[in-house]
Amino acid sequence: MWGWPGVPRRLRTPLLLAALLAAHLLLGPLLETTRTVAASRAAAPLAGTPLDGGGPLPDPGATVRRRLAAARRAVEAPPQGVPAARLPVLDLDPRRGRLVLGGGREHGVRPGALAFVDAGCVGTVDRVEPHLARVRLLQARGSALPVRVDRVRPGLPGGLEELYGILEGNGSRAFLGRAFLAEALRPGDLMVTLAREGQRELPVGVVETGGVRPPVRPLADPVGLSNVAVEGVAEPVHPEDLYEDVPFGLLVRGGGGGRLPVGMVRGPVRLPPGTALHRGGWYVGSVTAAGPDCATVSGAGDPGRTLTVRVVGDTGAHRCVIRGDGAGGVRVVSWPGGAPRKAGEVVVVTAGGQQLVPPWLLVGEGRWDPHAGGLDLELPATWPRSLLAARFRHEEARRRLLGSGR
Amino acid sequence: MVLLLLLLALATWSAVLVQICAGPLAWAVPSVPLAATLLVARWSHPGRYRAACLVLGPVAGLAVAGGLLVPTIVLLLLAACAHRTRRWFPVRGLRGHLAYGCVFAFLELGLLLVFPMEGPGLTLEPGGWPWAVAGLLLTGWLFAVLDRLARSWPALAHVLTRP
Repeated sequence: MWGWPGVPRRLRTPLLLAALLAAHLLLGPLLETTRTVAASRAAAPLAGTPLDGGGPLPDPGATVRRRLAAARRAVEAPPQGVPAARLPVLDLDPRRGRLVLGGGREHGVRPGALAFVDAGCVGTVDRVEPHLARVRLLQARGSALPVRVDRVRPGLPGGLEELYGILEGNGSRAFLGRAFLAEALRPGDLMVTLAREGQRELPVGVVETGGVRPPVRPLADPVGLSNVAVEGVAEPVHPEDLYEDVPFGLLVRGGGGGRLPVGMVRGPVRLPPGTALHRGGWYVGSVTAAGPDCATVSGAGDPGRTLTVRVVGDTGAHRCVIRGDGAGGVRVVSWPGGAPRKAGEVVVVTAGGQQLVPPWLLVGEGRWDPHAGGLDLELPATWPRSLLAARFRHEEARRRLLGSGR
Repeated sequence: MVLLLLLLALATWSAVLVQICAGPLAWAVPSVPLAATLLVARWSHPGRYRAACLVLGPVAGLAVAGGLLVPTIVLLLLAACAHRTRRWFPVRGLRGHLAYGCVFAFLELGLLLVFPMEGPGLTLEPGGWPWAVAGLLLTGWLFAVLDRLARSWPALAHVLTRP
């Protein structure tokens, strides 16, 4: 009954092992989708029972809400001296040098507009959709931005008082190309954008070394940005406007160091991986695999789960990357902009710029002490039985912007 | 044999449900598919233990985030090992079967923990080791019980041993 005609007996088990290994290595996403569908069916009898791991979320309280509102106002304030509103960053593709922004033609974004933050210019808008836009970073291949050298030192040949050039990207770095007298530049010279009507010049980068085509280090680091200002945009776009809430129900939550350190949810639509689930202002988790009407969701404290957050304390909001330790807690992976120096109570919220996770969702509350213990964060012990999936409204346009080679 | 495999799949699925909702205690749940596969591997011909692995492995894989086929691969490796060595280790008595089952449960745990998976896979926190040890002992005990059952129930022995 179980025979394999034509295959020698000795080879049957090794061949089966090799086939299974190949399937495991080559069909990972398909198998995980299959597992999600099968596990959701297997876990369905547990839904709504005391065994499903569901329960209420804690109330963050008025103090926490006030602190978060103040931090949000500070983070989303427009850059000083420039009449431009901020747009949320949705995706960063460092390899291709692209940022996808939540805000497009209908919000006043035009191709060629400068995108910038307080530190300086990030890049220029190169494609615009009705509700989304794409920024080509200064380092991206094909990027070209006219710049002027700020404060040229005296004594240039011919008594020149100003130097101009085109800042070009080669995919990994930015160079000052097509510049007259580029060899006159020195490390540390500051590049600024050309002044446009009614606006001040924006800092762009500093010359790293001399030469005919000197490399320039951009002042604004695109990694970890949650929003950027775009010239010509009058009204800010709120991240919440980019998502719609779809109700989902909890099937089971197997956390706390168990063999299934993820949750299973069921709802009316198929969710793309990365979609965040939330409730009452709390971040619950993100989809790792999805079936037609179900999804596997990984929480912030689950093993191997990495999440970019803002740690909001008395000294402001600091970006931080945390990773679940598998025992219901988290550990800090890095502080991209530097860690807070002062110890104290902190509130941790999601940061923007990470695909489909809306910013400002509560992750946990705890204490930060740079000298003892680091970040001691308390996450909610249970997940609510009724959840909301933050489904991105413009997924088609986002895919077009991320996938287009132009 | 088909009915036996279906019954074992049902038992495996029940164990998966218990693992899902048991949290940290999940490691104390005995490995039903391993105990069953060891029984089939020691009593039956290779085709049968391969079938047992292909049926029970994916059911057990429901509880392994990021690795649906991993338990199948691990079970197949261990079953092949148990089948090849069944004449070298003629296990006798309840204690012998208990020790034999525990050794294989330990090997299964090690293989599951080191197997490369893209998802979260399986992680065992330091605080979970006492539960994992309990799970190893219970798996050995379950294998001993199943073997005793096969010896004392001729119908089951017949299903397992017929060509």
